[in-house]
Amino acid sequence: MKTILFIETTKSGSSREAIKTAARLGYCTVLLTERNSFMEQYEEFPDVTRVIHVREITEDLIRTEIRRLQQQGNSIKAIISFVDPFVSMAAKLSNEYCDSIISVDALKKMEDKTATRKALKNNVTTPAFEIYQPTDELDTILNKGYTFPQIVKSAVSKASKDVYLVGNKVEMKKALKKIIKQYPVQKVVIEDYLDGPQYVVEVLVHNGTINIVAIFKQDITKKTKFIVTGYELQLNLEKGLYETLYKAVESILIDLGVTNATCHLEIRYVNGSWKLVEVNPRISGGAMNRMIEEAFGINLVEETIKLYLGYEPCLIRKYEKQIYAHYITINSYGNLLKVTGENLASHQPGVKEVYIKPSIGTIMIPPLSMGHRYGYVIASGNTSDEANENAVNAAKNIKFYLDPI
Amino acid sequence: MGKRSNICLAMKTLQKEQNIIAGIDMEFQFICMLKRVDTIPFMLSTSEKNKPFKAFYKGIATPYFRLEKLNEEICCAVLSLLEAIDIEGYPADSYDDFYALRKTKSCIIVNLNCFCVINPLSPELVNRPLPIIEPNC
Repeated sequence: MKTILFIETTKSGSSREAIKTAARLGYCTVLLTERNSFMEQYEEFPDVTRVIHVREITEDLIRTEIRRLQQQGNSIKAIISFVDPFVSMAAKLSNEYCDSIISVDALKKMEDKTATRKALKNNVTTPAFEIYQPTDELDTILNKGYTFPQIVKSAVSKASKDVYLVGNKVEMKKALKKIIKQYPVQKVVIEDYLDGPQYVVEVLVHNGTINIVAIFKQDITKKTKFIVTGYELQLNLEKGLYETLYKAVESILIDLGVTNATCHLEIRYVNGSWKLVEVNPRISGGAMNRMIEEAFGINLVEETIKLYLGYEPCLIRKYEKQIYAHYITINSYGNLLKVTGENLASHQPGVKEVYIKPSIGTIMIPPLSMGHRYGYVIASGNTSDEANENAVNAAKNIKFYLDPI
Repeated sequence: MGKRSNICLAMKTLQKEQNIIAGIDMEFQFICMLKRVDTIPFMLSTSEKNKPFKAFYKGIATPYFRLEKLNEEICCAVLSLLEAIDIEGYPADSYDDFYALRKTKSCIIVNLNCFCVINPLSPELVNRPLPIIEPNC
C-alpha cells in the first residue's frame, strides 16, 4: 500500500486539502494528530484512510508509528506536514525514510523567527532587529532607546497570535510580559515596524530553481494585532516592481539555503525597497490553495506532494483569473445561534467559493488572531477591483446570529 | 384530593417561586441579580392527548402563559399570554422558529381543574434580548 503520512492538519484549508489531494492521487493517507476532535468527527474525513491520535507529536513517536505502519504493510512514500511547527520535522523524516530531498535546514530556520533573522542578518531585506532571551532583564531591553513603533513577537509566533505592534515603552513592556509568560523558554524578537503594502509570495523551489507561484497583496486590519482580511491576486504587477521582488525573494532563499521546498514569504514594500516580515516553510493556510487553483489552475499542495515524492512539479498556468478573497471578522462577542446567507452569497456574481468556519454553539469573538476569521468568500472578476467588489458584496449576505455572553 | 387539584397545587408553587425570582417575597442582601426575571413561563395541557391549551393573541394561537393571579379556593387563575417570537423578533410560525417569549397585556381566566399537565419553561426565555447580528456592515 503506497502511503503518505501527514503530520497534523487543520479542519479546513490548505493542509486539509493536501490530504484530499493525496487520496485523489491514489495514496493511502494516514493522519497523525494531536486533536481529539478528529477522532470523534471521523465521518468528516472520508479521504483519510487512518487517523492516529497521539497526546503530543514528537519525532520519536512519529518514528514508532512509521515502524508500525511499515510492519502493517504500508510503503511510506512521503511524510508531510503543512502545519507549524511540524513542517521541518516531517521533511527530515521524509528525507530519511522516503528519499525525499527537501531542504530541511532551511525549513527549520523558517520555523524559528529568531533563526530566520539571524540567517538573514546581512540580507538587505532584513529590518533592524534584536533578539532577547526570556531571562534577560526587562528594563535593560526597554532602555535600548528604540524608535517607536516597534514589533514585538515570539520566536514561534504563528497566525499573528503573538505579534504585537507597540507604540511606546509601556506597551512594549506589556507585550514582552505577555509573550514571556506564555512562552517562558522561547526567544523574543523586537524589530522595526515596516510601514508599506504587504504582499504574500507563494514559492516553490525545485532543484534550486525558484518559482514564484503567486503573489497576493494583503489587506490588513491593524489594531493591537495584525489580521489579514483580504487577499488580492497581483496578476499584473508592474514589471520593474516584479523584478525587484524576484531579486529580493531569490536573495532570501539563497541565504536560507533553499533548494527543494515550498514556502511563503510575507514581504513589505517600504520606501522603494522590499523588507521581509517573515518566511514560513509551507504554503499559506486557509483559502490560499483554493485561491491559487481558481486563479491559475495550479494545485500547489499537489505540486508540493509531488516534490516530496521526487516527481517534477508542474507549475504551468492553465489560465489566469483575477481573484480576491475576503475574510469575515466580527466586532461582538457571542454564542453562535445561526448563520444565514451562505447560499445566497455563493450565487452572487463571480463567487467561486464561500466558506463558513464556526459551527452552531461556537463562542465567537472579535479577531485577536487569524484564527478568529470566521469565513471567507473567494470571487473572480474582469479586473482586480471587480473581483474585490464581488467578494465583499457577496460576503455582505452572510450574517452570524450571536447570543450575547 | 383527586388528580384535578394537583395543577392547582403546582400553580401555587409556581407562584411562590415566581415571586422569589422576581424579588417580591424575598429580598437579597448579598446577591445582585443583574438580569432580573419575573416570570416562569409555562404550557398547560388538558387531558385530551396532551395537546397544549392555546389562547389567541392578535390572531395567533399561543400555548405560553404567565401566572398573574391565583384563586386557590375556586382553583381559578388569571393568565397573561406570552407571544412566541423567532430569532428576528417576528411572531414565531412554528416551534422550530421559537427563540424567545414576549409579555403581552392580554389575559384569560382559566379553571385549573380542566388541566392535567403543566410544562414549565426557562424564565430566561421571557424578554430574552434578540441576538447580535454580525458582521454589522
